[in-house]
Amino acid sequence: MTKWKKQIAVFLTLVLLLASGHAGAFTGQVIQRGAEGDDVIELQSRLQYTGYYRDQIDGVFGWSTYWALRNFQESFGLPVDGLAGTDTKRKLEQVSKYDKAHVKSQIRKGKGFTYYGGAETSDRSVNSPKGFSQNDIQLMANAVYGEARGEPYEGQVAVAAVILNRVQSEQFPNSVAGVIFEPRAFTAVADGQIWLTPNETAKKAVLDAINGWDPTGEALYYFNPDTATSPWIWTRPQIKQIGKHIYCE
Amino acid sequence: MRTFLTAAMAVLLVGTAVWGYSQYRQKQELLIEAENSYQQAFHELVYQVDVIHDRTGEALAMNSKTNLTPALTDVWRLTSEAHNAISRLPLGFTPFSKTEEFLGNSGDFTHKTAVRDLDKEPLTDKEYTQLESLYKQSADIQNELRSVQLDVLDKNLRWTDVSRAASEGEEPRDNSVIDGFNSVEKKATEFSEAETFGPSQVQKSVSDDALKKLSGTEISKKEAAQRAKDYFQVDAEVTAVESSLKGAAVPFYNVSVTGQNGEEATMDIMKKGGYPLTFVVNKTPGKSRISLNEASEKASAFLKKHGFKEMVPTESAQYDHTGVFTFTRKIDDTLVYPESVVVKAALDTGEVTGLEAQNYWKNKKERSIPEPALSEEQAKKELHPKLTVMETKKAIVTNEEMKDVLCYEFLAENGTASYRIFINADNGNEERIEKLQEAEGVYGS
Repeated sequence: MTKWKKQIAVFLTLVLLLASGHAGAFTGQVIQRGAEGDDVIELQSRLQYTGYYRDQIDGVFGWSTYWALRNFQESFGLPVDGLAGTDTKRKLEQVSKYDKAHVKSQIRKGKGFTYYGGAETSDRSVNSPKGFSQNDIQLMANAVYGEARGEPYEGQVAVAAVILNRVQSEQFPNSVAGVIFEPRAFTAVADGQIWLTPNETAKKAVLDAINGWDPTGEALYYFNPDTATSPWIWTRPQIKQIGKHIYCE
Repeated sequence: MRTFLTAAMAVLLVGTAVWGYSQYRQKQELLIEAENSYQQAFHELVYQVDVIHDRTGEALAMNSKTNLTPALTDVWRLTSEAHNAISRLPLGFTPFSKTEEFLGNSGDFTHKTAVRDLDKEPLTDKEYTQLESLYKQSADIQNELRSVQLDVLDKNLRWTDVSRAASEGEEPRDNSVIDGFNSVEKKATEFSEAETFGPSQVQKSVSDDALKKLSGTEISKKEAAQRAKDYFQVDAEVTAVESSLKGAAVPFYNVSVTGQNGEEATMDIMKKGGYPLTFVVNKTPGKSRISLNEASEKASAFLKKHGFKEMVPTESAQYDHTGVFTFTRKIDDTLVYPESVVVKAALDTGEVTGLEAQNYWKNKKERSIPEPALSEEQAKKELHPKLTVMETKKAIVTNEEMKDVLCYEFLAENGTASYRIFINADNGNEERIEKLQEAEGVYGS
């Protein structure tokens, strides 16, 4: 009896495998580390199905997905490059199945995931630069928006870069929050404008600065020459003017 | 007489109003100041727990005393700072003693192990397990704190309101902070008895002076403008060419260009030699139409076209519809990490929307790669026994003493996290250990 059931199961699996092999749900792209999106969800699901991936199906191609893919490639005699190209994707489609609707609905519900071997899904994940949480980015965006919302884009990246330069500098607190809320450091903090809701541009500027862009030439201070009240600030060596702000060492 | 009285009353009234208003202003200012200091304490607390988590994660992969002792010392310092941050918050309304106890125990544990000579008395198995549990617990607390933080940021919650409500003995109106802290407290129960890192890509290892050694002839404003137009891949008009001010490390031009659909870009170009320092386009890409892989090839072609030689992609990440790539110089089979640039590209059209090359130019020089004294197998022996090596490369990195050293780069994992570890190829020192960043879940939904 059990043997009979097993045979049916095997048969059904084969049918499904063939069907999914034909479906070829992957798009044509070569998927590489750092990518996000539907193809990554499918990649993770298929790697999980075959037992190579044990972490969350979250749609972000991170390190654990990368290791799983490399192990998969090694076992199946493919070139081990950690890239999901045509051959690798075809092999995955042959040896696993992928029920897109089911996976997607589980992800939407943020549900625990039993179908693919008990691993969890996360409702949505995003790439995060090393050392920064999404909340850090949000807090910095608040500061940038409060301080420089009328400034050109470069000026907004510059304000974010100054915050980061301060975090790195010995003379300032060594966390983003410490720098932003340091008394009398930023006018937007002193007058409460930091609590305005930032726009996408401010967030983009923060992300650029975190990823390494520094249009200020490593400035630690900036000021508006028309409104600056402190004579001291004029004594700092000036590097560059962006919009209304002069940036200095 | 009556007019006099009226006038006197009026003066008094105005006087009172002015006084009242200035009192109100002062009170507002004090409120904002108090609020800012609460906010600072709170966000610092979250950050410190983040770093405690990352540093303990790194400590788990360390095998040498030279690295482990500073890591443990760091955690010890952070636990005390986190403790301090908690004490600055108006948390009278909710018990928070277990979290504080957790911090206290972690502090004791890391202090005890940090002051010990770990060469003579390495971590015992039990201590290693404790370190693992500290790592896991800090992850739980970190998760809970981050979701409170998201609430605070999203709903614009005021700590001064929380504190007022607490002092008046009532529950604050929005309970999410309290709920949040209660669940932090719940997670912080089971610790068995028991320079912070900088952002990876923003490494500013060398001084500005390094730019001065670059040679070349002075370029004109016009040439600088043309160069910026070449970098910008759409038909553009130059709107301004400004010179840097006196305090700049090296004199450069700041060129602004505008495309026909209003896209703006700016670029800094060194006057001497015309070296491109930084370039950024203000663009919000539409829906992704090309893959990260394809975009990285376009970025690579862009670098080649602009004269960056021997560069290979070493890092890639997608943020919404923008791809951000790190390219690193590769000489034969050795990666030269100090000579890295960051490039970003829009995933709708594939056009390059940014280049950051200041560190690249500071570190750029003629190099000959020495032969390593240790073999790969010998270097591998220096790794923590619990690590499984997944990938090995040869690489040059800048160490703590600001010297460029040849290393074996091991990418490894231990079941809970992945690490990048640099072992000096001459003397086997653990030069650097990084815990590799995984994706972050989106909280609060």
